[in-house]
Amino acid sequence: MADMNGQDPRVLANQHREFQRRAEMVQQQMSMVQLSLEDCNRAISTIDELNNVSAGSEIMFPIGSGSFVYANITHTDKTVVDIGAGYTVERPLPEAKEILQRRRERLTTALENINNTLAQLGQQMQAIESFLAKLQQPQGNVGSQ
Amino acid sequence: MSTQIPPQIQNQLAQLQQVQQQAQSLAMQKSQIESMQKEAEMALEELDKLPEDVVIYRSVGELQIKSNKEESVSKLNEKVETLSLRLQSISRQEERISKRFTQLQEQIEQSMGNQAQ
Repeated sequence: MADMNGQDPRVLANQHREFQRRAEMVQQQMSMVQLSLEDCNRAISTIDELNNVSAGSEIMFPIGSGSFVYANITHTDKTVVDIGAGYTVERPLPEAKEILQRRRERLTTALENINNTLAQLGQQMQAIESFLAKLQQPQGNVGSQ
Repeated sequence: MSTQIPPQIQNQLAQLQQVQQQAQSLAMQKSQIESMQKEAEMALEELDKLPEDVVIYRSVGELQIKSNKEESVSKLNEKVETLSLRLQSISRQEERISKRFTQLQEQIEQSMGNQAQ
C-alpha cells in the first residue's frame, strides 16, 4: 500500500484492469482443473467398483445423451488408463488406480496454487481500490463545495 | 473527454491497445504451450515407471493406435523439444511486444506533455 504513493492513478487503474483480466483467466483455469479432478475421482471410483464385478458381467455402455448399449465386461483385472499427452496404457486395476491417484494429487496441488494466485490477485486489486478510493475522497469533497 | 484528445495521441492510444491485445494473446498461447509441455513431461514420467513391454495406445483423432514404450518415449521427447522451441519463440515475441509497449507509452506521455504545455 505504501509503495503506491506518488504513483499515477491512471497507471494504477490500468494495473487494476490487468489484475482483473488475469483473475478471470485464473478462474477459467480453476474451473477446468476442478472438472478434471471430478473426472479423475469418477475414474477412481469406477476402478474400485470393478473389483466387485466378475468377467462376463452384463453392463450398459454409454453412447452419449443418456443412452446406452448392452455389453459384457471381458476383463475385470486390467484397464486402459490415460497418462496424458494423448497416451493411454494398459495396467492392472491397482496400478491404474495409482496412476489416477498421482494425477489427482497433481490436480489438487494445481488447484491450491490457483487458489493462492487468485487470493493474491484479489489482495492486489483490493489494495489499489482502497488507495484510489482514498485519493478520490478529498476530490469529491472539493467538488461538492 | 475523448473529443479533446488530438488525433495523433488517439492513434498512439489505439496502437497501444493493439499491442496490449497482442501481449494478452501471446500470454495465452504461452500458457497453453507450457501446460502441453508439462503434460508431455508428466506422461514421460509415468512411462518411466512402467515395464518395457507395457501395452501403450496413442490417440490419433478418435482412434487409439497400439504403440510401444520406445516409440512413445521418443515421440514424447520430440514433442517436449518442439514445444520448448515454440516457447522460446513466444518469449522473443513477448520481449519485442513489451519493448514496443514501453516505447508507445513513452511517446504518449511525451505527446500529452507537449499538449499540456
